[in-house]
Order: sequence, then C-alpha cells, then structure tokens
Amino acid sequence: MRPRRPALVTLAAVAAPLLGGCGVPGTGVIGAGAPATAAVYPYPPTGMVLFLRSADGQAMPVVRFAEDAPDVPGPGDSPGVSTQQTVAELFAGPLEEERAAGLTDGLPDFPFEGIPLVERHPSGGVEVRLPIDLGDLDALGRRQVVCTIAFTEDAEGRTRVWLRGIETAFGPVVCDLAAGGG
Amino acid sequence: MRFGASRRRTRATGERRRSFGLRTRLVLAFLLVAAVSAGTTAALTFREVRNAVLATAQDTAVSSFRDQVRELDFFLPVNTTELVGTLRTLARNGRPHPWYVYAEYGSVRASSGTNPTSTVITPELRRTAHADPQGSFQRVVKDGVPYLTIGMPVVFELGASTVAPTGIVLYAVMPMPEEQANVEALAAAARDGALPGLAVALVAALVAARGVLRPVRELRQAARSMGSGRLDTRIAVRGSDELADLARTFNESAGELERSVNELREAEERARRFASDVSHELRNPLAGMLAVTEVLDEGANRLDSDTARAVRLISTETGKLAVLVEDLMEISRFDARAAELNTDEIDVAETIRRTLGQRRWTDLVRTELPDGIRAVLDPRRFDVVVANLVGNALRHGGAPVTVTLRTTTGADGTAWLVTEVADRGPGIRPDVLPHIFHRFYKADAARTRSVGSGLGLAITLENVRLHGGTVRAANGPGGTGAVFTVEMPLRTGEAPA
Repeated sequence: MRPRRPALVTLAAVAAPLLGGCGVPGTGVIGAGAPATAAVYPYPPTGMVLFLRSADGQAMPVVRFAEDAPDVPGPGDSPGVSTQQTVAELFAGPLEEERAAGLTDGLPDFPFEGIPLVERHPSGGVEVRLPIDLGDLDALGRRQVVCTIAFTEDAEGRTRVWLRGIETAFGPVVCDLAAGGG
Repeated sequence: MRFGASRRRTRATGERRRSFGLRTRLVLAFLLVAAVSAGTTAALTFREVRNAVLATAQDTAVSSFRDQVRELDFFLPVNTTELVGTLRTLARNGRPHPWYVYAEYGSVRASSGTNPTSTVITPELRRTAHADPQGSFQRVVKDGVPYLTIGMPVVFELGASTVAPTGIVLYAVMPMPEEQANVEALAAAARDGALPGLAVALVAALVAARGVLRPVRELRQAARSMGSGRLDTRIAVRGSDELADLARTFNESAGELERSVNELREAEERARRFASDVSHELRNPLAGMLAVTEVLDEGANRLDSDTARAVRLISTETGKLAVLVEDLMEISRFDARAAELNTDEIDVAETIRRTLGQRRWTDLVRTELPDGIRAVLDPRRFDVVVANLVGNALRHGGAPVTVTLRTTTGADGTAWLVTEVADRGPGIRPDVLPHIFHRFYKADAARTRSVGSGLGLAITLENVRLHGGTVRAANGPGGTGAVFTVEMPLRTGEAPA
C-alpha cells in the first residue's frame, strides 16, 4: 500500500492541470495600451475650459461655449475668453447640467463683490489675485484653479501660474493633469 | 511452531508478490511515465493553444473597442440621453462578438442595456480604469460563462498636443461562448489524444513485463528442480541481455555443482566398493581359519595350559573377525542398495519367541508378547533387529531385559507394529544418545575391545528403514535403563514408507 501512494499523488498532480484547467479561466486586470482619444464639442481652444471635480475626487474638465470666442484661435494664444472671466465662472460653481452629472467645484465662494485680478508676472507667466484665503483650497482645488488659468492663458496649458490670496501666495505652478484623480 | 512460522512467512511473501509484484511495478512505472509525458505534452499544448485563441479574441476586441470609441464625440459635461444613444450604437458593432457597453462619468451610469451598471465588471478593473488613463481588460468567469471586460478611459485633445482625461470611462462586456466552446473542444481533444497513448503504454508494459517475468519464472522452476535433486537442470539462454547472463551463470553454477556432487558420489562409491571387496576377500581365508580353529579347539585339551589358552584366544578372535566381516558385508549391501525385502505374513510373537529361543535367551528375557498379531515383513531381517537389540541390552544394560510388542494406529490411519526392548541398566548418557546408531561408535571410549562388531545397531537401523519404519533409543522414566523402540508398518510394502 505504501509505495502506491506517491504514484497516485504524481498521477493526480499530472491529471489536475489537465482536468481542472479545461475551460476559460479568469484573469487579473491586464493593461491594454493607450486610452481612446475622442473628440469633444465645443473644440476646447474655442470654448471655456473649467476644471470641476467629481464625487470621487477626480478633476473633471468641462467645456462651455464661449459667447465671443473666435472660431479658430491662433497658436499659443488665449482662446479669447479672459482669465478673469473663467476664474470667476469656476468659483461661481457648476451649471445645472454639470450638477446633474454629479460635478461640483469644491471651492470656497468669493466674498460679495469679490473678483479675481489678473496681471503679468515680471518673471513670465501670470499672477492671479484671489479674494479668498488660499489655505481654504485643498490640493485638488489648487490644481483645478491652476489648470483652469493655464488652459485659458494658452491652448497647451503650459503657462506658469502664481496665486496670491488674502494673506499667502505661492507659485510658480504648472498645470499637471497627469497627477490623475489625486 | 516452526511449521506455523514458515507458513506465516510464505503467506506474507505470497501476498506481497501478488499485491505488488514485478509485473505490477513494471506496468505502473510504464503507465506513470506515459501518463506524465502524455499529460505534460497535452497540458502544455492545450495551454499554449488556449492562450493563443483567447489572446486573439481579446486583442481584436480591445483594439476594435478603442477604434470605435475614437470615432465618438462628447459634450463635457456628458449629456446622459445622448450618451445612452452613443452606447447603443457602440453595442451594435461589437467585434469579434456582440458586447454590452457601459459608461461612467461623474455620478452618471449608463449602459446599452436596461441595467445601467454591470455585475460582471470587477472593482479592480474600475479602479484601474479611473486611476490610470490606460486601456485594460480582465477575463471574468461568472456562473460558468467567461466574459471579457474591457475598461477604456476616454481622453480628449485640449490643445494641439495636450490630451486630458475627460473623466468618461467606457466598458465593454463581451461573453466568450465561442472561445469557451473552442477551448473545451481543445481540452477534449487533448484528453482523447492522451488516453490511446496510455493504452499503448499499457500494452507495451505488459509485453515488457512478460519478457522479464518469463525468464524469472523459468529460473525459479529450475532452482526448485535443482533443489529437489535434479542436478542436470539447465535453462535455455535467449538473447544477450542481463537475464540471459543470469541464466548463463545459473547454468555454469549448476554444472559445477553437478560435477562436484558426481565426484563426491564416485568417491563414496569407491570407498563403499573397497569395504565390500575387502570383506569379500577376507571371507574365504576366514572360513579356512575357522575350520582350523575348530580342530585346534578340539585338541586344546591335550596341549599344555599356556598353549591351550593361546589357541582358545585365537579361536575366539577368529570367530569375532568372522562376525565382523559378515556384518561389514551386510552393511555394504545396504550402502549399495542391494538389500532386498523378502516379505511374508508371520505371527510376530511367535517369531520373537523363536529368535530368543535360538540364541538361548528365553530364560534371560522377560516378554510381553500378545498373541495373534500378524504382520507382513521380512522374517529374517526382523529376526536380526530383535536379536541385535536384545543382544545389545544383555551386553550393555542390566537385567531384566523386557521385550514388549503392541500395535498402534498412526495419524493417517495406517497400523503400526511397535516393538520395545527395555533394560534396567544405567541407561545411555545423553551425549551418547544422538550417536548410538552410528557405525563403530563406542559408548565407552576406554572399552575399545567390544564384544560386538560395533555395527549391530547400525544394521538394525538399516533393516528397520528398509521396512519403512523408525528405531529410536531413549532412557526409561526415572533413569531406569535404556529403551529401544522399533516402529514398523504392520503391512510393509502396502503402507506408505
């Protein structure tokens, strides 16, 4: 009896992958290359690009029609909407349709009559003064503001941004979309 | 005890051979090797082909899904109604099989079907698709049906060379029934291919086992045949493998053994013939000498006393010599197997009485001889047996000597004649007892000049054996003298020896 047991074990070991793995097994998650690039209306350089956030903490771009935007913007130029306007729109919060999709701004409201001021920074880039305490912005909120400003300033979003609040300031910062949902 | 032990051992080895013999081991080993190789080959082939089949389907599905999503356009934020329409269009173009399409955007969940969320898509795939703007897929088996689930985040061009995630993630869920059927057919084919392989291996194993076991069986029979005395047993040598070598070695050893045994037999035969020849050669001169000593004995009275004593000594010793030669010749006949039984039906008690009477021992010996016991045996040899035992008892034991006769029935139902000769002497020393029937064995080393020839008990033993019986010596109960017991079949020649 004793010598037969290893033989049986070996046979079972051989037979198990044969009989056990007969069907189609499941897998883990496997990477499959680049994401799909789709077209967006309106064409972002001709619209107003704002970065809102979703409930699960992702930066969500929305593109609103800009009333007085040119149909074809020049390369590297602003799409025609002023940075002051886009920042004000961003802090004003999502529209009805955007709220329906579960998007929020996640930013503090401006005080009454408060407006953002935009000026060129001496070392290049743009400086935006906000009538709020920058400490009220979380990391995602800063990225939303910086990216909204950068993509308004130029179509590729590479403009360097300085932010100045009531008491504090920081910069320069470059919009980093690759930071993902963080 | 010994019988029981040997039977147990036989049974143990027998069971071992039956349950796990050479044949079983060979067949098992063959089958194991065949199963391992066939199984491994089949399993590896199966896995490779299966993976290729699945990879083809997956790659087609993923790239086709990506290409179709590329054709789409969205508003940001996404309009839910338009999204459902888009998803339904996508669902119609599933390749290589129809698929269900799901979308996630913010808190929006939409699908091409009735249920906005899928139960097949795993949280891991969703997490990967949201965290990393890369396409990814996962194969999920749910309720025995394999599904391919693809997660495809959608990005858009913000500027001429800048892409950003839209926050839209599209999922395709494609059942793979065709791949499953193909893979199952593949598995069945692998199994069906392996089983005939095993059957062929079984046949090969049996043939190989036969090839090995037949010489082994022959060898065992030959060894048993040699053990039972047929020294000319040889094995046919076939081929030139290890088993043939073994057979050749066996034959050589058997030849050597046979030669040695034959030499021994010849030497023994020569010695026996020499003893026989010597006795024969001595017989005639002794006959002459006996005749002369009789004449000398008659005239001894007229000689002076010294000469007369010398003459009587010569006469006595010559008589002993004649008895010795007669005994030697008798034992030579036994050794040469020339002794024959001349059986006759006799009254045993009568025969014993006559034996004692002829030797004038009737007054010296007590007898317990029941009348009416009739036996078939050689009267002359039985006379020699009784005379030797009684004579031995009279010479070496103490009076009174008792001869007892009775019959018993053996275990197998045959009737046996039992003759006992007992004396009241000092008995036989235990160290002497095993040798008492040996030729010329002297119980008392100092007493070199025995009255008898030294062959009496040996001749008794041979005579009893010739009848198919046994004789044994023992000491009576309580050290009261020696007892010789002779057991012979009541009907010699009819009972098994």
